[in-house]
Amino acid sequence: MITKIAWKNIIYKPLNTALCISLLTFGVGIITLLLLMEHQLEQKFKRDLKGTDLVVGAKGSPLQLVLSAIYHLDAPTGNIPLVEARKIMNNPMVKEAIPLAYGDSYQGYRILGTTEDYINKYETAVQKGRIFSKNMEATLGADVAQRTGLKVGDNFYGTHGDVKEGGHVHEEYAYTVVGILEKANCVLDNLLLTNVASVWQVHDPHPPKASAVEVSQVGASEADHDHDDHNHEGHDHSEHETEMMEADSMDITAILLKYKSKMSVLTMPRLINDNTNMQAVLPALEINRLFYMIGVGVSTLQLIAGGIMLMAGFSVFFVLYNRLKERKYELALLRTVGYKRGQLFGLLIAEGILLALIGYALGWGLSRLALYFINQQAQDDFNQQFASSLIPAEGGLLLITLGVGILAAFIPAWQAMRMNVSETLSEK
Amino acid sequence: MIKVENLAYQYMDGPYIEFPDFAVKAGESLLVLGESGCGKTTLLHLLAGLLRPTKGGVWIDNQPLSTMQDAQIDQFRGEHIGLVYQKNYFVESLSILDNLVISPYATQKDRVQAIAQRLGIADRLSKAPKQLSVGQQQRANIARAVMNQPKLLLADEPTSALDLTNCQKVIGLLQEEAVANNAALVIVTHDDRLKEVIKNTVEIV
Repeated sequence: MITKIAWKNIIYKPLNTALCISLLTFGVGIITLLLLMEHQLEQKFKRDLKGTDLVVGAKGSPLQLVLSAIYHLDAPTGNIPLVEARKIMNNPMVKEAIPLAYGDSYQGYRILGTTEDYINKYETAVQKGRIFSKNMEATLGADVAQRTGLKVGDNFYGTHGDVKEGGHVHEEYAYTVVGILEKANCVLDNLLLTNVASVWQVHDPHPPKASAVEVSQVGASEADHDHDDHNHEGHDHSEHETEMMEADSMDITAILLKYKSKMSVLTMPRLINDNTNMQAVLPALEINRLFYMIGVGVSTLQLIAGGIMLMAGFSVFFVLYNRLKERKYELALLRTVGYKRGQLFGLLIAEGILLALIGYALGWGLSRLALYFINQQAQDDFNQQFASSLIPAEGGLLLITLGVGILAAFIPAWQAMRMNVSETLSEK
Repeated sequence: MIKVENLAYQYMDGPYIEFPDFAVKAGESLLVLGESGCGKTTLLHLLAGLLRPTKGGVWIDNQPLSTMQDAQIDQFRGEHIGLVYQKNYFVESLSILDNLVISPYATQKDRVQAIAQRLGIADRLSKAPKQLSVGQQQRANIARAVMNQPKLLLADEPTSALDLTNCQKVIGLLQEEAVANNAALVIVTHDDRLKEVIKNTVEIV
């Protein structure tokens, strides 16, 4: 009966209730949305960073280099000569070096020339077909395949730059899809992967004969070739020779490096930055900087949302407190028909909790609705999607919201409990 | 059923009121008469356990109210005492039906229809309290008071605002309900008209 009275009383004054609930809804909605996006951005940025200690690329903005080479969200800073890049890749302190060559896209998804190591870095398997091995073969990320509808065996042309429509299409060479990767929930899902030589081939003004650019392994395999202490992973020697031929004149866009020791991660960037025309960037550092910058905006929004929650708490308090005056006779009546002091206290607290719960539920819905619209926009702009799955912090927010409801109802509930029934009923 | 001995109440910074002894048996009625401000409502609240007496005691069904804890009195009142107020109080947000069974001790919910029928408000049960006329509201109040088959039915000035015809009707209803529920009926009032209906009276001076 207590719950029923609480519920009926809440809907008895719909305008008061609507005020409380809408404030709670907006507060909860904004906070949930922020939590969701922050959580997922952080996770996503960390996942994509996996296994990369250092990014080397052309001089320019370090953040741009990281955003372009790791997250494929920005244009590259420029190109670096393969000869120079090799020197770094062959350094004995380097555990793994992955070359990246890019500049073209297909329907807004980036075509990335790299090696198989890049796929292995994200521990992803092939869902259909196989990984590229020859020039002009491409293996697609799961999302690319789903959204473009490309299947194994299909052909496609790259478009110059990162544009969706209207760019220059390289019609001389068609890529062939040879495989589709499993969903990796990282940047891999949004890429079309091929070997480095294919990217060279597409951009070569005087295309050599296809047989001459049979390059599948650039970089790490070259290191194998030169240094005896490296394990030879069974590459074909003829491949390496053609590769050598290409190497001198060609550029790549960036290299992702993993070092054997943490010490070299700290010393190498200086070496590269001072002595070469390239820059080396610690991506983790840049991303922390980026999050710090975003964090200022996020905490402002959090403050606003917190303010709304505070106002929601006050509105619950005012509404319950004001109603208390109108309701004192019915509360006295409840006491005379047998309700105990504690039950009256519970009644008011229950009303606070009900308001908080409704506000939370609507706020939760609002956050998902907003996320849906943000996703539409993000899909168009960045090929990114936010998942709407539950995150642990939402449970915390639910508790906080309930706390706001209980706290706001506490004083009215206390007064209801302390009420002098005889005095109230004697009032003429 | 109810017995009062040496009862007195001292108001904080207010008057000290002594009440005459009386006893009422089940199914019988008692009229407590007195001028306005002589402490009639105080007596009613003492009988209902809403106030604690300064001296003396109240026994209902041989149980002394004075030895009970606050929460015990709340429960006892819910189970065994029906109150009819001078004004008609309702939980505004609930329907008449819900108001009739509002007590946490209203276990015999099947009695609602019969009681509502007797009091002529059977067709009003789904309405909000505000939609009822004053007369209907008063009858709904009486219905709620007898819902738990109380041992004691207390009424505070139930007729002061009514004309003679309605006054007789309400007193008739209260007496009928008291008899039907085998309850002792105590009415406090300054309405002398009631003396003709209820012969058993005490006066507060």
